[in-house]
Amino acid sequence: MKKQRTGPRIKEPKGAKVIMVFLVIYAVCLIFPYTIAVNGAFRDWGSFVDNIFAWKDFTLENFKKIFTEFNYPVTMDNGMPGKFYFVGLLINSVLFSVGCAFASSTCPLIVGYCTARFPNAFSRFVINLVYVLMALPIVGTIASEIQMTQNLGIYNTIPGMWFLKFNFLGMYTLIYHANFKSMAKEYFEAAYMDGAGHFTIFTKIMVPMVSKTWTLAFLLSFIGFWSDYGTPLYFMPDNPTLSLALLNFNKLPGSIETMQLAAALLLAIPSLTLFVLFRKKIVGNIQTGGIKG
Amino acid sequence: MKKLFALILAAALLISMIGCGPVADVELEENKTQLIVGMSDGGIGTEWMERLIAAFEEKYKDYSFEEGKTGVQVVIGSKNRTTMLGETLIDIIGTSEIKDEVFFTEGAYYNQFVEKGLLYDITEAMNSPLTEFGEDKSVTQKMSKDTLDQLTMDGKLYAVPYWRSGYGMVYNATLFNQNSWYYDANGNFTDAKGNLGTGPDGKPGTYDDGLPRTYDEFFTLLERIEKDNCTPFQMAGASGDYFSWLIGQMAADVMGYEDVRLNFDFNGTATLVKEGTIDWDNMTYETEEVEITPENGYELARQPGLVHALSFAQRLMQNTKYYDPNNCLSGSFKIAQSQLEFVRNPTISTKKNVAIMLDGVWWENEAIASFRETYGSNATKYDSTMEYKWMALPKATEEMVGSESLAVNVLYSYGFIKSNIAPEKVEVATKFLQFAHTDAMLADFTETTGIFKPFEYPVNEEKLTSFSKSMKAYFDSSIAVDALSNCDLYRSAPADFWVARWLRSKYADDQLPYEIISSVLVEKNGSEYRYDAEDLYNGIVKYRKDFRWGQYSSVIG
Amino acid sequence: MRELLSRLWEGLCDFLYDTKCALYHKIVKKDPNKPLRMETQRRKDMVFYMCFMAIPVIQFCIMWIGVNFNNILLAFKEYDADMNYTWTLNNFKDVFENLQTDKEVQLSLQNSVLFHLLTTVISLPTSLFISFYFYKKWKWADQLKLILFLPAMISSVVTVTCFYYLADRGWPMLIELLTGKTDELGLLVNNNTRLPVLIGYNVFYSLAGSFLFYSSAMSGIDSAISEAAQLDGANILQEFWYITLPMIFPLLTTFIVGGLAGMMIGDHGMYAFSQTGGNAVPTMGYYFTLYVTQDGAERRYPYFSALGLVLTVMTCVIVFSVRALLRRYDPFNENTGDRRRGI
Repeated sequence: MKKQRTGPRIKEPKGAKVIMVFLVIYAVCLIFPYTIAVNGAFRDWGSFVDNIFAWKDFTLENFKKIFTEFNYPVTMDNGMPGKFYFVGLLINSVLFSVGCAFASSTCPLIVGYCTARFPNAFSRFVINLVYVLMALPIVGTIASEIQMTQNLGIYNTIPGMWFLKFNFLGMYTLIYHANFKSMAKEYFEAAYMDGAGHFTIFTKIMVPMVSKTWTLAFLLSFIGFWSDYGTPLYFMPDNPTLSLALLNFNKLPGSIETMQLAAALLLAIPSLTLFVLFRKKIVGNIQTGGIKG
Repeated sequence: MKKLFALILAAALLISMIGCGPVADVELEENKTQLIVGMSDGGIGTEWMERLIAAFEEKYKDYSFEEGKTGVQVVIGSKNRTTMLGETLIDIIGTSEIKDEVFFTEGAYYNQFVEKGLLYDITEAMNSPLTEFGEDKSVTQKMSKDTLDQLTMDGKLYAVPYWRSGYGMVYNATLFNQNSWYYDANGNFTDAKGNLGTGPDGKPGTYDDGLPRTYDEFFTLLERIEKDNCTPFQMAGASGDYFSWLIGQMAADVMGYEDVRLNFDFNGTATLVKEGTIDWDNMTYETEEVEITPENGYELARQPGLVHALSFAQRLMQNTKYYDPNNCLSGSFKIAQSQLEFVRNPTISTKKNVAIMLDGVWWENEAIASFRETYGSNATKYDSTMEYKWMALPKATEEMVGSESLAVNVLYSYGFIKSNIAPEKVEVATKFLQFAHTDAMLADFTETTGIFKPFEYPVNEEKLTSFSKSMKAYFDSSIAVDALSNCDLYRSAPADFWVARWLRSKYADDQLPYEIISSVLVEKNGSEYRYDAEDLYNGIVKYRKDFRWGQYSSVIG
Repeated sequence: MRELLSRLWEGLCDFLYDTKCALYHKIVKKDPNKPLRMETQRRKDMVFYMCFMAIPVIQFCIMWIGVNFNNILLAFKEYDADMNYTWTLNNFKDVFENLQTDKEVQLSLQNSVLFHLLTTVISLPTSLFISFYFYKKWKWADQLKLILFLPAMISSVVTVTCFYYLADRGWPMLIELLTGKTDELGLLVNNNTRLPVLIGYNVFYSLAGSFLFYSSAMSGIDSAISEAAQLDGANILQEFWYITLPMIFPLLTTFIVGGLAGMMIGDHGMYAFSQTGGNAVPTMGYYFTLYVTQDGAERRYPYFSALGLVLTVMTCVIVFSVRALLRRYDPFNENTGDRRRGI
């Protein structure tokens, strides 16, 4: 398929070269700090402390220690002490990120569809609500939010966080709403005539039509939640994710830097892998149609 | 794509079904009585506790503390968590969140715990002779009278001291010897075999011989070390509050026992610096005697100790030849790194050796990773080729050489049982606390950790490192001051009193709560230092009087 | 008897059904003259609608309405040691007192504004230039785009850790290498450079995400317009200034207003900096995170809620003023105010 051009390609003016050089320098500077993490993760601790830039004394010891010494102490349900080790943290991270990403990308889809498909007064109210609340700058409700999750019994639970993130106050709801609204009514009606139910129409016909947007939203939120230490810090201090554990480990007075960097590298790998695998989808989709499908 | 997502979701579902939460530290043995011990392990580690538990469980393996159960299982509860620090624990110890029953904690303001009724009365258990363990003495008979008096509230005892804490300077004695950094009797530099000077205590033949006797000698030594291409002084920027405690300790040495106690008791005559008489360049001032009561306790900010200690802080911090600011002032330079440089640098040729490190009495114990990094993966502090010693603090002036040295016990560390312990657990808890204070277990604690407890007990010195031996000598030759008092004012806000605490509260206009004196002293406006010792002294005097004291009005009346 | 019960049951079902229909008609405002009993499809519609909307609406009621309502109540509460509360105005008194006297709150507030303004002032035009480069698809645009987007994909804990190593350790080493000077202070250690460097860090890494949105908006511009301009002899700067910028101005205002709304919420990476070891400066987001997550902070929740409410009011005033200003004084089009509703 012929690649669609999104902007007119004209002959590069002189200024473009200057911007390009600037961009190349910027890109190099942007990436350079990460080489320290890559280097440090594979270095001997003492050697790294001596000189963070040296390329010597490589070892896998840090990664071995990650599996044995990297932990996050918690009080277990029975009041006994316990620890989350790397594998436990990893699993928590997967559950947290996949679930939250699914919730936060699916709720707008549902609300966007329902409000577009059934344009009743309540739907109109919901859409206007999204507009209004998005513009309302509310600061410092975190204490109340923590208290609310504690009262609801979802504090420290991963499914609780899924519920927390199952909200529709965001740009995506408006995008889905606009997308579904612009679709011809005949789609629904034809499907009805063929005897399809609402659920079938939604999952088999409508969702595939916006799957590109949904996938992008899911990917971006997955990457965001994977790196997010704030939500676990506020709401799941006894059920930590890898990101929170890394933050906690880094602040210990006795933590070893090369182990910190090895853990940081392991934390970055899934996001980077997804980015590399879906780079065209992620960058391309945002680029070509905003975040429209 | 669809398949991939399906796969991810399926995997997530599968994992959640399998479940993989935290791993329990120990498996509970239902047929035994359980006792949960909460401890803040800090730099002290848990090995001593594990050894204590093993010995206790062995002793009572056939004993029944509860009907239907034989033996006891002791579990270390919430270790290594901030929740175990007294300042936090006080709010939650009574809640169901805390399952621990016996505690060995730091940062606990004893009287506040007692006043809130959070601690179990252990008077009888601690006063009973430990005959069950083959000893004649009781636990209280091993304690100093002062400590016992201050811990006794309304005739009852609710806690025992945990360990003798202290922040100070550790020096590499091997380097001192190799580089002839000791002072001889004439004030010249020599090695350990030379005719060493008396040190700050003014007495020959003691542990501090050859060490700088005065601040001036100390800074001359730092100059010398710097000339020998070594790093004279090091501390971890991430734990800058250690510096406040050091300054507090230096102030105490100037004040003397009676005047230091005034900071806790607010009852007596203090020698204070007359306002407006300090010549900061020559460090001279006039003094006056002032009767101190809780009403005018803020006057203690004018104690000469603070003047001298702040001048010491300024001389050290505002001369970056003496230390590497990128280590000592950077939040990214942590204790572990400081210890690594101190231990490892002498074994490699590329980095400067560190001569003196600011740390706590527990440092050797905490630096296990550094010893391993330097001497091999199974190395311990005993494998070090270097000899480390605790440095006696230099005196402010020549006249003060030979004056008493004070060891202010500042970590507020105690062992106790919580008051809402289940009745069936009382016996096992008190026995555990008694057992922990038998001579054998006290000695085992010191031999394992290298740290001392404020009790009388025999220790096999052969099992101690040079550092621990020098620390013992320091404690033996110093007067201990416990941060405890029967004064209502002190009890109302124990975190507010004592020099080191003043340095952690407000004393400079644009200082933030977590900024400590070491970083405030090096703040620059362009190339000029923003504050010097004089500014900080005036700030502290003003702040204590104008802002702080008003907050105690309900106590003072 | 059985028949009677059966009739009763049927009656009850009919009543419930009619009530449901009445409610439905009330909501969708259908013609009231239409018969109440709906056809099967309508009923199915309703069931589907209610089932699908139920959880999002419940979530909203709890986690938005509930949270904000609780936040307001919390701001008027005072907890004692046993977490029993009394009603009070003291929290607001404390907030106003702290805003005047507490250096940490003042500095947090000041830094939040400073971080936001400088980040916006520097990174907005830079982002626009970068976006224009990508929009024009000049050399290596696709490759550079990927690299520049990379930091947005990596956890800030990782980025922050790498950055402070470079600033505190790398910088003195670099200076020593270049000039032989051995006493250069780390950039975060030196209090003269700390704030500018941390702002620089934010500018540097905030560029990464935003340019994609701008270039996306630019790609929506009809290429005929830019081609016409080129035929008229407009150079590239003129095209950028007179064509591209006015066309994406609505998006820009959205970004500016949206950014302002988040001014007091974001911690600008300071929490990660301080917790992982780097020397940081306080910002409002950092202040909240630091103190709300401390052990035993529950008793101080009311103070934070009160502070949040006061800051919300302050931010609202700023946001709506800027919004009104931007709509009134659109530099590119005088009559756009009415047309661009919803920006």
